[in-house]
Amino acid sequence: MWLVVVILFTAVIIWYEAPALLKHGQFRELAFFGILMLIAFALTAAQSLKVKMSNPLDAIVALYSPLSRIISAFTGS
Amino acid sequence: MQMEKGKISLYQFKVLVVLFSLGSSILIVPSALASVSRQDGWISSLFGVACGLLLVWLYASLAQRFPDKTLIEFSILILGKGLGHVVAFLYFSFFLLIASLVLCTIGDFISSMTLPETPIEAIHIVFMLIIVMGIKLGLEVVGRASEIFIPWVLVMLGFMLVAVLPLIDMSRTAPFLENSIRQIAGGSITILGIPYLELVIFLMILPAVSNRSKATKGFLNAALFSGLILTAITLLCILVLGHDFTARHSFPSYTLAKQIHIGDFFQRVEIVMAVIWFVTIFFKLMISFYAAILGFGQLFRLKSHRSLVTPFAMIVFVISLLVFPNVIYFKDFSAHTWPPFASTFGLLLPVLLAVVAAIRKL
Amino acid sequence: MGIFRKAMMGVIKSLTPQATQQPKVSRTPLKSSLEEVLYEIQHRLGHSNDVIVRRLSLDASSDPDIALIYTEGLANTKDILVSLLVDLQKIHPEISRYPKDQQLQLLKNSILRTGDIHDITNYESLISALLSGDTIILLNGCTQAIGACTRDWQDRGINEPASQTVIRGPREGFTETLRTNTMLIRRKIKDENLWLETMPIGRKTRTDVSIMYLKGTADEELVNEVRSRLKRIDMEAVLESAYIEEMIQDDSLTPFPTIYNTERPDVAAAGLLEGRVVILVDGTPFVLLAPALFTHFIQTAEDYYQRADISSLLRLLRYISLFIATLAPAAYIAATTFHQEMIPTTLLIRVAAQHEGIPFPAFIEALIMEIIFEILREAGVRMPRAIGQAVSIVGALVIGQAAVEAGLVGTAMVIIVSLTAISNLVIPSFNMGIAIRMIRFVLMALAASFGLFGILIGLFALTLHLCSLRSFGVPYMAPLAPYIRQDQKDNLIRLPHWALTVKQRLIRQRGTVDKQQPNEN
Repeated sequence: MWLVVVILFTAVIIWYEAPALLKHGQFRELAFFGILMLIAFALTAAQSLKVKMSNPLDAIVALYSPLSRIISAFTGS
Repeated sequence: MQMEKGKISLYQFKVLVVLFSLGSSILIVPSALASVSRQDGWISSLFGVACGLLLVWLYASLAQRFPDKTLIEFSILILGKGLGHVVAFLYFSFFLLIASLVLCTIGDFISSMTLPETPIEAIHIVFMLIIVMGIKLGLEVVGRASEIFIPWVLVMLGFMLVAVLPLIDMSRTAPFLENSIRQIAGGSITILGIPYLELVIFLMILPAVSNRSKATKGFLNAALFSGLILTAITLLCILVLGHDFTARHSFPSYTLAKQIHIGDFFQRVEIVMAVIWFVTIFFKLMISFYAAILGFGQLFRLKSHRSLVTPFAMIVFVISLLVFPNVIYFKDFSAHTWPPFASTFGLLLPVLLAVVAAIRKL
Repeated sequence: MGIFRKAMMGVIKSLTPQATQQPKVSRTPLKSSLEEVLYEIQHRLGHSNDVIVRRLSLDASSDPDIALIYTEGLANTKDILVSLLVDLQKIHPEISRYPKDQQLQLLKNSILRTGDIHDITNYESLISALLSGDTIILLNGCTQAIGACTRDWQDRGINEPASQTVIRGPREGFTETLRTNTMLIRRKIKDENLWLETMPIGRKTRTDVSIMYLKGTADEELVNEVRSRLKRIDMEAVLESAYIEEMIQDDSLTPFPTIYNTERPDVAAAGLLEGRVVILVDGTPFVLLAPALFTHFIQTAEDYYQRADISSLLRLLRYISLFIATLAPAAYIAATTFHQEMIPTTLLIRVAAQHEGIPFPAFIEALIMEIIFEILREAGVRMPRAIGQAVSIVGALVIGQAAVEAGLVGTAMVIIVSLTAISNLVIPSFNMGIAIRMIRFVLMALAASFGLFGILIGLFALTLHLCSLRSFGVPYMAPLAPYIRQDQKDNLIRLPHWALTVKQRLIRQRGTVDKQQPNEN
């Protein structure tokens, strides 16, 4: 059900933004807009379908874990 | 190439810095400080502010070499096409992540404190709608709006701080300086993480300031001012609530406000605190989102960033829902992972950029 | 926002018919034969019988070779009869010695006793002058005519302005005649730099529209901007200054007014002295002032006629009323629906007790009361005096009291709505009051959905919107944002006159603070 909302929403945004870009001849911007909208749509649709997506913070935590451990040791917390 | 045609005044810039710094910091910092340095949390805070000012000075001097270029632009300039673009992209992601984290902070707060029955998604969406509106209207408008809100924020803060004074118990700061220097320094890491290391974001905004020559001093003043406010709040939290309680509570400044009783009538004054949070976080989100979009646009040499706003808003919306599985994860992340992560962008990279720029005599 | 605005523009475009072609300005020269000219004029005017033609002949025998034409009602017949006719009759035999083409000039230069006389060479300007109240003098055998200014008509006379009354201060108000209005302003400012330009606007109505400004005080660009916007107007009719207002205001979709209107000469003069431009429209006593900022709509003329301290307090009171008018119902709805813990316990018990029996949620209750009040207000504006009493009684007692007693609305709600309505009336400018009314409903809806959070979101959106508006290039929220220190002396508070003498910076140096950046996106 939410998926429908997402689709509608995306459509509305494209309908609104795209003509303005075309009118000004901003094709590069239009390309980026398209790609980004695709990504955005994919993410929001996945979210609406309650697809389990991994937390980007996990990657960061993993990457910085050695440093984090140092800090914890340092501050003793 | 300058994408942002609007100009903001020096005063508006300072206001934005203050609002940004107070943003999520008011919520998170007192608790984190108290958990590490206990009753000397406020000393950690002062120490952190001092270090933070050094950071700000670093940013400002870096930016002074390139007065009309944003961070993204001069990164590419300094480090060249390949590495420069990579660094620029990393910064862009950093800003985007800040925006998402800020959004979920406020979402969590609103949901847990005031609107428990409303789904978080709704809160996030409504917030992002306003952000989109603000960004589309432009930096100038945001600057003017900040001028309108700042008196209210300051008055409300002043009121809170004064109203809480009768409740302080000076004994709670004792034993004074019981904690080792190590712990105090360790505590200051949190306040550096939020907001000082994040202030690098303002290197995206500095070129738009009309009175560029005085901007450095203004930047420092504003950072100092907000740092002092944060210290005061932390100090009051410790004095009124005790360091133990402050450390354990999610949002101690809120609880602090709850303590205010003026006669029989003014009892639920913590709403004022919630409003202060709201306004400051709103601007923090606005600025970080703006920086991310501006950065992306400059990275890929786009002519205008307006069309990027809506897709990125959707992306931030989703990310903000992903990054907050629960409060404990978040607290742990902010205390342990965020400071090193943020120092990559707030300390390491700026130093690198400064050094390379000096070497290349740019 | 964006999408909304686009949709609105689309709707508006589809409803307006294609713009008509600019009519060619034709200039048909006059014929020399008197009778032909007279016939042509009357033919063009459809032989309207308020156009009077008076023929004279040189000597008793020959055909008439001078004619006077005037419009009854618009021209001062006494002038015509007493001076023009008499002059012509007496002098005419003497000048008949001169050649025909010189005779007219002689009449114009030496003989006729009216003030403003001008040459006329074509039918269009002849009829235009005729319909404005001039008397046209035609000479047989001459291809020119002269028009003598004999404008005079019935006028309402200078009364106290109905809309902006003061306790202390001048009680003159503008009237529907342009010349009277310019006179009233000239009486206030006798400076040589007070300049006046007039142009006719409106294809059918040919309404005289004037702009007045203080040269040197008003920003040059501002004056040029006003002038060019007025010149661009292509309308059929201009019946009121509101028509002009809508056509020249900054192109933004906003409920907030960006041009100020007033019935008072002293307000107009004060605006002129600040460097603003006054636009006078013939046929209405409401004069426009451009640019207009948010603070102007909360200020009144009386602020300057009472003492500084009381004026400052009253101004602050007006700002408080502004907040009450906008936020009170929304705050009440938010508090009773979402944040009951915010209300002190004793009050809460009372409010809750009232809410017990009421079938509607707070939002609907507020909506009903607000709408009823709006209906009463509209009725009050239009009702004939005779039934005024009855309507007030119906409103107050029957609807208000009875509704409460029937349990349809709570007393607290009635109080809130009344307080809001009265606060709304405190706002000096009617346009601003209307804008606030609309905003109030939006905030109420937000409060009903999201509580305090919703109100804050609404306020953010409102602030962003207000900060994005400009009035003729000046940021709407100035001098609050961008903060201009010099102008704070007369913003929220008013410092005494001796402190106000240092000139205010804002409007005079319109360009310096925030030059309007062309929005390229």
